[in-house]
Amino acid sequence: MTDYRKSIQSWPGATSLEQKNDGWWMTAPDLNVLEMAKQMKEWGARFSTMTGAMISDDETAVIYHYCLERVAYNFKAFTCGNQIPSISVVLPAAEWIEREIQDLFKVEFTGHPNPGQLIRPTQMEPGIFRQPGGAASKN
Amino acid sequence: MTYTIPIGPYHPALEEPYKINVICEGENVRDVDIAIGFNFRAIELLAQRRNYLQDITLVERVCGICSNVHTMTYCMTAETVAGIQIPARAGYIRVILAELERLHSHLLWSGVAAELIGYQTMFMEIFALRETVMDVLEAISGNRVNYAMNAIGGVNRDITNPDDILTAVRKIQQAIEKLVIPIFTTNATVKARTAGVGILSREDALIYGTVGPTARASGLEMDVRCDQPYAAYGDLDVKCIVEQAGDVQARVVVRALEMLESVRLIEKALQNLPTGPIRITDRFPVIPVGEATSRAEAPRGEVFYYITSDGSDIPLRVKIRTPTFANMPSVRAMSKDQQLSDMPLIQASIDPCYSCTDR
Repeated sequence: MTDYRKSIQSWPGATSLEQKNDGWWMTAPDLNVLEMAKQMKEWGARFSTMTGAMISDDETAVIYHYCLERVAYNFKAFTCGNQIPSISVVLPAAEWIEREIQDLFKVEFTGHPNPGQLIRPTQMEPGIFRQPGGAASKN
Repeated sequence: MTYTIPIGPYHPALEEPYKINVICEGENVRDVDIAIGFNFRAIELLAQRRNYLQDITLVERVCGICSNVHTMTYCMTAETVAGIQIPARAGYIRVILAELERLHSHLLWSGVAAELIGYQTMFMEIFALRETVMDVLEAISGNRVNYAMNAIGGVNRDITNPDDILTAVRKIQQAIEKLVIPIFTTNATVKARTAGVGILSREDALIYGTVGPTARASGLEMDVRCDQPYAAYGDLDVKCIVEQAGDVQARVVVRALEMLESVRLIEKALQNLPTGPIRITDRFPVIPVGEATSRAEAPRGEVFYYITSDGSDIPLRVKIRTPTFANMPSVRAMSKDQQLSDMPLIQASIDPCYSCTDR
């Protein structure tokens, strides 16, 4: 039986997993997301979605949400120069999600097979969600 | 030689705006290209400008059919960040509303499918039956579409007349058993239009990340109610309905059998409805610094919410992933080498919702 959590923590760029109320979380700024996607696919994990979240004026956190044997796993990686490798070549399910994050947060997914506009109105520039939320949104 | 037929974004055959370019060779579909975003409202961004209570009203408008599951999942996510445990009775009421919503959504889809198949009488019968479900929802919540039932920490309204609801639900059950299921599973016209059409293999269903009845009709045994039970589903032994064929007929059968399962869950929840409060005493709970995800099984499949809080009354980030956003790309796999005339039914077989998809 595969010890998933031990294997995950040995991925390139991985850090330690933390258990929370909603599953396992790992914040790994330099995670090799392509290797992560290949391994999760090999294990038969179900890819739920990805979340983009602004962490500074120039960079974005990209969170990969999976379910593996009915347990939720969330891997948070950071962009570098607002770029991060695309996992669409491994998982077609990511194609629309990456295009949406590109529209909303201006993240460039390098190697994306079809990086066109998806959801953003064509008259608007990419990055329309790069605006403060929470308490800062009151200013 | 191939040619492209553009359908949409505004077309009499489409109930909502989207565009599908069908690339054909003769009458055979070789590929499709789907464009969305015509209904984009930036609801996630708006949610980051409103407080947690205002957001409940906002996310209820993500979808006009499964509005309840959006408020429920939003509240579940905020409750997870804050570590709030809802009262047992509230969990059961959430299940009853969610299953009534599934019934009305599946009946709506069945009616639309009947119309696309060319079975107008069936369409009218099903929509009359759906009205009964809407009446029950209205009796509980006071509303027919946006029920305003969920609150962070429980529900807003109690169920005070379980016997009346039981009586109505049993009538619905009889009609589903005597009318909907026999016609959808045995009628020659329905079978001719749906069997072997728009096949999505189990492998493709997994690769495309499909969810809900679309995934279960392709042999994927996945249902959030079973896999990660929430509200009171853990007490109710939900049966996961799975078919193997992966065609339009399998999607029809999965939804038909799920309606019966919804009736059973509503009955069981009503019979075992715990006593006690329906909401925690703190009506305006503070959501502390943190982040969480929640999943719920909407009628069309898994709904996913992510919330980050900076401890203020406004969320820092709200992410919503709706089932059609996950299912729609798989139409490309379903459509290859199909007849052009089957395209309306194939794309409708995932029960698409573009209000949800575009948010």
